[in-house]
Order: sequence, then C-alpha cells, then structure tokens
Amino acid sequence: MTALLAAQGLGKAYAQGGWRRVPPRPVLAGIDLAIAAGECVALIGRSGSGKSTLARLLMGLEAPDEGTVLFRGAPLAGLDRGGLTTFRAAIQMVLQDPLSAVNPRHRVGRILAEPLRHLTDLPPASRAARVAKLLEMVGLDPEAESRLPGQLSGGQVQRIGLARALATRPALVILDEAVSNLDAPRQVDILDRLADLRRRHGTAFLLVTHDIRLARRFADRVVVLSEGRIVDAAPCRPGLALSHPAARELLDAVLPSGPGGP
Amino acid sequence: MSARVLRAEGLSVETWRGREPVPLVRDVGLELRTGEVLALVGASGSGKSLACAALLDLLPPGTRRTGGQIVLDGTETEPAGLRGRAVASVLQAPRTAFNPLRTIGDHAAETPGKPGRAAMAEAFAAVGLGDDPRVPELYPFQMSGGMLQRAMIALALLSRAPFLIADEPTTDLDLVAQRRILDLLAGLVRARGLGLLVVTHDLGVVARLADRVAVIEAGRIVETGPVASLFADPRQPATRALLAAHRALHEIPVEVVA
Repeated sequence: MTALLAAQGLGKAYAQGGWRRVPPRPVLAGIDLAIAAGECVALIGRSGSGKSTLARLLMGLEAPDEGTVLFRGAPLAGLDRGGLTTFRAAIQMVLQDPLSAVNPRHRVGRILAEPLRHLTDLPPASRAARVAKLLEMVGLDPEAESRLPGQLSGGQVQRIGLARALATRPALVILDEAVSNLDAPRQVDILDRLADLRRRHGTAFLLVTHDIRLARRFADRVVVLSEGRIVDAAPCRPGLALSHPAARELLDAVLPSGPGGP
Repeated sequence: MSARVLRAEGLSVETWRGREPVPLVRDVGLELRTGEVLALVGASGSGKSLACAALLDLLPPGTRRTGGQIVLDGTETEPAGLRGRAVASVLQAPRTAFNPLRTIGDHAAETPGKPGRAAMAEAFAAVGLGDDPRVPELYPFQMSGGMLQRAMIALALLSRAPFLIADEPTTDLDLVAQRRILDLLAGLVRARGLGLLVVTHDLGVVARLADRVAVIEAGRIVETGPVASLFADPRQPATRALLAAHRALHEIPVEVVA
C-alpha cells in the first residue's frame, strides 16, 4: 500500500550567517519515514535535533536539499496546482506558539473559515455551520466565533489552531509541540479529543514532541531523532522498547510521578 | 542579608472592566523559609504568576494590588525594596529576558553590588557554565535555552539574595534540559541554603523539587501542605484534578475518589 506521506532520503542544511564563507550546517540527513493512512506516529527528540525542520519539509513549507517527500506516492515537487490544493487540504499542521499562528485582528470565525475558503469547494452558506461544528469538536463555546484571539487564553487559542487544522477534514495533522506547553489537564483533554477524532474519522497524526509521556500515551509508534538522523524507532505497545542513548536520555528525563518515586 | 523567613500575607490583586473591579488574586498567603522549596501550583490562568508579581511589586499594567503585606523576618517591608537584595528571580522565557545586544558578562556586571571577575566566575561555575571561559563574552543568541536559563540563575546568585523566585523556570526547555535545571536548583538550595519559590503547573516539577506545596485556584490558595501528603491525600477538587491529569500522563490508573 502506498504511504499517505513519505520521506525518502531527506537532507537539509541551513546557511550559516555572516559574510564569511562558512559551509552550510547540516540539520537533517538520510531521513526515511512513512506515515500510513490513519496511523499515529510520534517524532521525538531534544531541542535542536531537527524535528521541526523535518515537519516543515513534510508540509512542503521548505524544499529539501536531498531526497523527496511523496504524497500518496507522488513527489511534492511535481504536483500541479490542483494537486497542491489537494495536498494542502489533506495535510495540515498545528504550531507550537498559538498566538503567533493566528491573525490577531481576525475574529475566530474568520480564522476558521479561511482554509474552507481556499482549500475546499464548500459554498459560503455552509461555512458557518462547519465553523460551529469545528468549535464543538475542540470543546469551545459557539460564542468563541465572534472573539478575537487576544480575548482568549493560550489554551483556547491552541484549540483554535487545532480546529483550523481540522477544517478541511485532513488525512494527516502534524502537531509540532502543539500540546507541550499546555498544563496537564489541558494536555490530557486535547489528546483525548484527538484520539476520539482518530477513531471516528481515521485521521492520521504526526506528533512532534520532546515529551516521551505524550508520545507513549498517544502514538502507535515512536521515531527518535538525534542530531538530524533517525536513531531509533519502536512501537508503543505492549511496551516502548528504545535502546539508543539519545532515546534513553529522553526516557530518563521524565520527571517523577510522585515525591521520591520513579 | 541573612533573612530566614519571607512571608506574604493577604495579597490581593484586581483588574477592572469599566468601573467594575475583577479580583484576580484573593487573600494569598505564602511563607518561604531558607533551605526549603515551596511550590506554587495551579492550572493556567489560576493567578500563580500574578501572585508572584504582587510579591515583588512587578504587576503588569492594567492590574493593581489592593491589599497584603510582605514580612521579612517579622518586619513589614516594601516589596520594591526586596528585589535584588532579599529576593532574586528567574523568569520563564530566558530568550526574552536578556538584552540581545549585550553579552552575558555585561548582564552580570549590571547586577547589584557590581560583582568582580572572581565573583562572576564563581557564580558561572556554580550553575555549570564554568568549564567554558568564553561564556561571559557570549551573546544570548549564541547560547541554547538551557544555557541561558543557567546564566539567569547565575545572575540571581550574584545578588546573594537568600530567596529565589522561579516562575515556570523550565517550561520552554526540553525534558533533558529541564531535568538538569531542576537538579541544579535542588543542589543550590542544599549547598547555599536558598529559600526557593517555584511556580509551576507541572506536578512532575513539584515531585522532583518541592518540600511544601501551595495549590492555587481562581486566585485563592485552596490547599497547603508537605509535598508527600498532597500527593498521597489531596483534599481539594482542584488538587485532585491536577493530580488526575498528571497521573494520566504517567499512565498510572486514576483511583476512584469516593
């Protein structure tokens, strides 16, 4: 079966600043990763391991220096206008910093209707109903529609970002540290809502995080990124068995669940 | 200054909507003792950061303190006079807390008391930045989040204040960096007898670091006690909700509360 989204031999290097000729700094090398329809994969690693760069390449926000990203078997670079619209509707992303990901001058209703306007052929009359449905899916009041992002809490704006990503009924949602900075009750609430969505609509997820607890709770399998390479991968069930030192470091860093306990 | 006990009594903060006052922090009391870690825990928006800001007289515009006093070793003290003398603080987002145009050494030279080279070297060594002699010459953008947070703790140590307030000191860091910063703070409390107030929403941080815990909900302290009894026998719904979510993340089945 063709994977929904696949990376083949992806490599990326960023130019180093300054006027001296410094060779570009490689941030990703030889990345092979395939996400099947309905699958939930966690991409874990420390800050600076290349997680967000990989997410951006998979979204087509940046072009890789090496390798290709395949959407349902077709290289991203070769998609025509129609193909790109389908791709953008099918693959959506939620970013880490919710307030910087929305236009502060737009009301929530407009923010949520934007992907509907650009990426779907939903008639304008039906958009309002879809917006109301989206707010319900992420557990927000219908009145939130007329609010500005600044009038909502950080956790609420994060849920707006999530609702916007779900607007086009995507096949895959990439969550780039989208739940890491919420408090524990909100993390559990959002993960439970996403799991429910998965059950009902078969949406696939790529959870990008440094928190192995979130990965273990939510994903089918875990892929560990360290210094720009995939160093370890394992299914989450029955038990998460990771052996690479970078993965052990993340596991060992999990804070104790109780005083004096593990 | 060798104060022993810093007490905030009846701290209240409000904002206003039109003429209508809206209370944000209500009658909060906190007691910090040297050599001990007090954790102030609450969900987002519970008022924990505002309570700290009121303690230091650093309330943001649009809010005002309506009551409360700060007592240092039994003497009532002006909050503004505490900063940098009795209390040092470590902020949440190290990247925005530093001036991007000044080096770390410049920042250190600005701390009260005009520390000399030796004092700086000692403080950087205490936070684990002593191995690299270039650290004082680095600009914030040349350092990782974990290094910046260490540098901020070093600046706090330079003030020689006996109390340290750390507002979500590890929220922006990855788990590995978080663990190391928490180990560092625990070590400093032991070695220097600091009194630490750590503000957090993460009960993992509380379990790792705290001796006593105060739980805040809707601007009010609802429960205070030793860390062990709070985890073993939470009395308030707010505490139980935080614990239930915390344990759900650790995959420990939640006990049915009768």
